[in-house]
Amino acid sequence: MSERSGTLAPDRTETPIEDESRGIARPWNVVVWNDPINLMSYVTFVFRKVFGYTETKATKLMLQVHNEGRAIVSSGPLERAEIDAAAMHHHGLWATLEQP
Amino acid sequence: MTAFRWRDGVIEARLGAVEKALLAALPQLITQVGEVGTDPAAARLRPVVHPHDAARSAEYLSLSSDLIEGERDRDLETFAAGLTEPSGPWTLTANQAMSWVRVLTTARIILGARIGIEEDGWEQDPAVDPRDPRVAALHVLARLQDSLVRALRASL
Repeated sequence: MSERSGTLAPDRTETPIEDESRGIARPWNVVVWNDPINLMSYVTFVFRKVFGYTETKATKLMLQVHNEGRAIVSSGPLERAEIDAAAMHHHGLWATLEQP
Repeated sequence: MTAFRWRDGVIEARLGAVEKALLAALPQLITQVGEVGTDPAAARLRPVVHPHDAARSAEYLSLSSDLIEGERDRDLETFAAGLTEPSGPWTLTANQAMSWVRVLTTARIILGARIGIEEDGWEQDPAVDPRDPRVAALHVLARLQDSLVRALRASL
């Protein structure tokens, strides 16, 4: 992530993992990956704008992406997660989905 | 000079001639992205969302690519329409400014991919030639984008 000072919905990252054998699908995680082009201020802003996160939470996630290379920014059913991933892509962030 | 600022419910843009000329070149830059395999920018703009499941990725692409491309087209239309306004200061609504900031992002991604930037710290990498006009454009667009993000933050 290129360094530059900065810069929904309910928090979906706390969704518990359920057992598929009980008929409840495990949630999918939306993972945003570090890239050398997007500005730190922009990434923080996108997390606030798209997910409605606070500045504190958005900044924490942005720093996790920057320092650790990736961060889980939301979780939920596949359809919801794909919508979130598409929103990330529309805003130019690199996002993938994974099921823990 | 602050390029963008939030004032009385809109974002004012005060841009110099060089900045305006650069912005005017962005629609062509973005609409002329080539195909995956021939243009490094293409793959970066179409991420594989399920990297370990080709079938699921293909399904996602079939459902989302038209949607995302349509949104990008609308962003570009909004951006290009703003460029045709008489000389400044230009004013943007928050929604228009969102289209602008995404267009700036897309342009920077295209330039970065074509230059071959893959790691953080490229600003200090001697292999990235600061005399390359694409590198210069990347820096100018970064400054504009950061200014626009600051203005947009005030609109939240």
